[in-house]
Amino acid sequence: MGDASFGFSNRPFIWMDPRSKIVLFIASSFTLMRGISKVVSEIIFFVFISLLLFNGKQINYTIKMIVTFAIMMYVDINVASMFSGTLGVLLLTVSRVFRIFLPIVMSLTLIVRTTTVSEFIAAFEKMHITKKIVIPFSVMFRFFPTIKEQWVSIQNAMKFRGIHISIRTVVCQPMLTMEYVMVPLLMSAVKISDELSAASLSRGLGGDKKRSCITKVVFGYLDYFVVLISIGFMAYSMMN
Amino acid sequence: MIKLENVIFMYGEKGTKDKGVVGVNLNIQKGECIVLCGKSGCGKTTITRLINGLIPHFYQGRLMGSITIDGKDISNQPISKTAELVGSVFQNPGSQFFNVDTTSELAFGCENQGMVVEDILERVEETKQLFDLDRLMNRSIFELSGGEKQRIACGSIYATKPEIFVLDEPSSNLDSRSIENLRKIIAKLKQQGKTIIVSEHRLYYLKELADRYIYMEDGVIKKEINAQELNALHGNEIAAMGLRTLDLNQIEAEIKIIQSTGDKLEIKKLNCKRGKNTILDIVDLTISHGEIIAVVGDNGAGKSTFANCLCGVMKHEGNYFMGTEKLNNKKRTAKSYMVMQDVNHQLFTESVTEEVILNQNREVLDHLDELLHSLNLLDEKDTHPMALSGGQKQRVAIASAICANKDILIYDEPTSGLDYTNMTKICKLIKRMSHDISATIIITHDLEFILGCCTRVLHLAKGKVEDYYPLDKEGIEKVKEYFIEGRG
Amino acid sequence: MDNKLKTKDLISAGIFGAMYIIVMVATVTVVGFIPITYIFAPFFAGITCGTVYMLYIMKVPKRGAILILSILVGLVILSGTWISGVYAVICGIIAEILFGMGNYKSMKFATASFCAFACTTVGPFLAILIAKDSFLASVVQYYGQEYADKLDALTPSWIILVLIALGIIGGFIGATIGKKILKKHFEKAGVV
Repeated sequence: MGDASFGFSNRPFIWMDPRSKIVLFIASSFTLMRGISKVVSEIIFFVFISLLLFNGKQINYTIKMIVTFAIMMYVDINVASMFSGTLGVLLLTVSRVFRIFLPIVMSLTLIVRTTTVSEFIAAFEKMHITKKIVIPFSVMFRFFPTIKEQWVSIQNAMKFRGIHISIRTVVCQPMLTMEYVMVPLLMSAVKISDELSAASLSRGLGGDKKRSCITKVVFGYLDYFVVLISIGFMAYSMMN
Repeated sequence: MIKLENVIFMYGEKGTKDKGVVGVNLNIQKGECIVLCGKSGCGKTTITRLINGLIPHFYQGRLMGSITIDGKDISNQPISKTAELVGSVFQNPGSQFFNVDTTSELAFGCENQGMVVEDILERVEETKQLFDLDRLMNRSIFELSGGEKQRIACGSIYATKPEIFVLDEPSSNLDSRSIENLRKIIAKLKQQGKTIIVSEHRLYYLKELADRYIYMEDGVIKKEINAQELNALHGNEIAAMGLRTLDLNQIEAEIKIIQSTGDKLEIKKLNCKRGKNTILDIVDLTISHGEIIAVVGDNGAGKSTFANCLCGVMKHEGNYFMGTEKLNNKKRTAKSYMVMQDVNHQLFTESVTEEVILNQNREVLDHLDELLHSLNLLDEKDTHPMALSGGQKQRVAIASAICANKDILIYDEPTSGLDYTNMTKICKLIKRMSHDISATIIITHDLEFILGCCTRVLHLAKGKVEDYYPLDKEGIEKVKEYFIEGRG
Repeated sequence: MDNKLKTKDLISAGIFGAMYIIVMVATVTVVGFIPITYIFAPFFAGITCGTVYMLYIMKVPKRGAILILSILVGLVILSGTWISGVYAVICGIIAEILFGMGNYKSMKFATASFCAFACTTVGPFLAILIAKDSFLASVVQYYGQEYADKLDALTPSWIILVLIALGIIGGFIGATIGKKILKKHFEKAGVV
């Protein structure tokens, strides 16, 4: 969750509008609900998302996902049928059910790892979403990696005091362990919240003027293409 | 241009909490560079907040008197309006960014003002040129060092072109090279005729920039001193005012030689990798008993890595011996204690007493009062650690290390944000404690502090030991040279 | 006191939203490590998130604060399907109303409010149930009847009530712990 690349992006080869990424995400979660009924269409959809991720320069991640997908596919087709009973069901569950989740996870990754916070804000504003959502949302994104940093530091601090977390402490003294973790984490959250508020206010956030945005959010050819394919897949899964 | 008249401010909803300011009258001319100085809690930060409008729009409290900029009343106009006039840079570089990528951050202020996109891009470009930010564009703020972050923060303020710059302890978390960068930035702003107000403990880098010093005590302006007057004062007089040195060259240092008899701590073949890159490689290092070692070096030299390896919380290869005993990671973690830069992360309980005796035998209770007294914490015995001041929190952390009988103490930037008085206090404390423990390791960028208490310097560069020398007469010259050269 | 959300409240919402989600996801990941205990995820998430929630609503005791938090949580839970997202917001609205009934002050209503809010984590399960029929139909076609039957047997519809009950109990415990930690630490330190 606390990946340092949240809300930050390497320049993609072809820029994508955050809105078309959202449409793609909805399409992938929609097709899951409906179930893509043919392996071929599932593969096409998967390849499509993989290509978009490559476009966003998420090379290592995408290769990992492709390998995972291929193994699951192979197990599904060639291995699972060799076993019957519980083991067979288990293999099927892992290879099939988890496989359908891959495109959803990947399209979510596409959103969070290839969109900058300011692109989000711009896209949200174009969609006329109120700043009461836009501001918390962008702050939230920015704060995930910070929590990770704090967490590492708090864990180290706990080790020096001999109160580090282990399975034993979680089971034997759950309340105390929770207190040791939560108190410093929340204390620094409050502190950062205050400092960030002060900094943002003093830089004019939350004024009456309409914000401008240096990131232009405009639909390009790729976006139309993505939306078209997404709708196509949704329609296709409806028909089945 | 800026006028504060009979200003009284008290924090807290009813205005009952202390640490505000009383009866402040201050006139600041256009183009002036004003330095607010004084001990921690003297009210200098409050003055900066009065000027940038965070008081009363963000910090609640009771405000009386008037604050005007060019005749406009700051407390009665929305803060977003003030933001066009006054730009602020804060102490903690980590928590003042709204965006994750640097380019967006530079544009952020302009965007909030609703400027035309082309104009913003032009200004971002101009800022980039002026502050030499080329290498920092389009990066994630999470990969930047504190100094780089602070440069981006200054840049993003500059892009909105305010007439007034307010900087609240901007050097607190910076190393000497970054402070030099900061100095250059402020010099450029001054050249452009901007009005600059800096609240600061470290004064040496502002020496040639400041026009006027405002010396505060207990929320009151005690003295207004112009630059020549202050420069003429002797080092002792400045110290007596509780201020940090104005000139690094003039710091006096006594030579502290360690005659050690106890077991030495030996480190052999330490090697730490991140991914494929070796980030720290120390072949052989011996630390005598009771030594106080300053670890210096530029950002990325491996100082924090060294500290983390030494106390066993980071994965790496290496052999450690104390006398004949071999110490593995776990043993070292049990023996060592790190006072972190963000001390808030290491306070876990609900009172100072509880904090100090956490995880200890109840026997320590017998000596507790004595210990707390020696650390000047006895009055705060039942206070929640988080309600204490920065210096007090640090001492609580140190107290718990003493109680746990730790043998290796590591401090990460213990003097960041500390005033002169608190710095000398911690100097004395570290010196006193060093006799009873094997080693004290201090990561620091603070020359005044190093000369005040350390016995040796470990200079790291690019993950290797560049130099390792005692602070004898020669050593003192060497370390001074390193820090003062860092300015050039 | 001004009851409208200001910019600083929105920033707090973002920060606490992040905290809430991290704690929630971490709990669900740990608990869900063993599939059988996965069903207790709403219960445990309620316990661990309670402190974050209580601190948040004490820091921002204003109308709309809880709703925003529920939207943020909903956006993350959404990673399954949109139904769980909508459901999260419904939980948020109920929680918002409950806290509002206590005038954004009463600790009793705060506890009640979190009992409702803690049910957000039931969302993914709910989505599976609502979509179960169409899901099963496609499963039959794609995975075979035998597998569909097994899946059907694993997820009887009444289980959702058990899950919600678990969520509410977890929420109650979490809120109670949260209140205690708030009093012990945050009030004493002068943070709230």
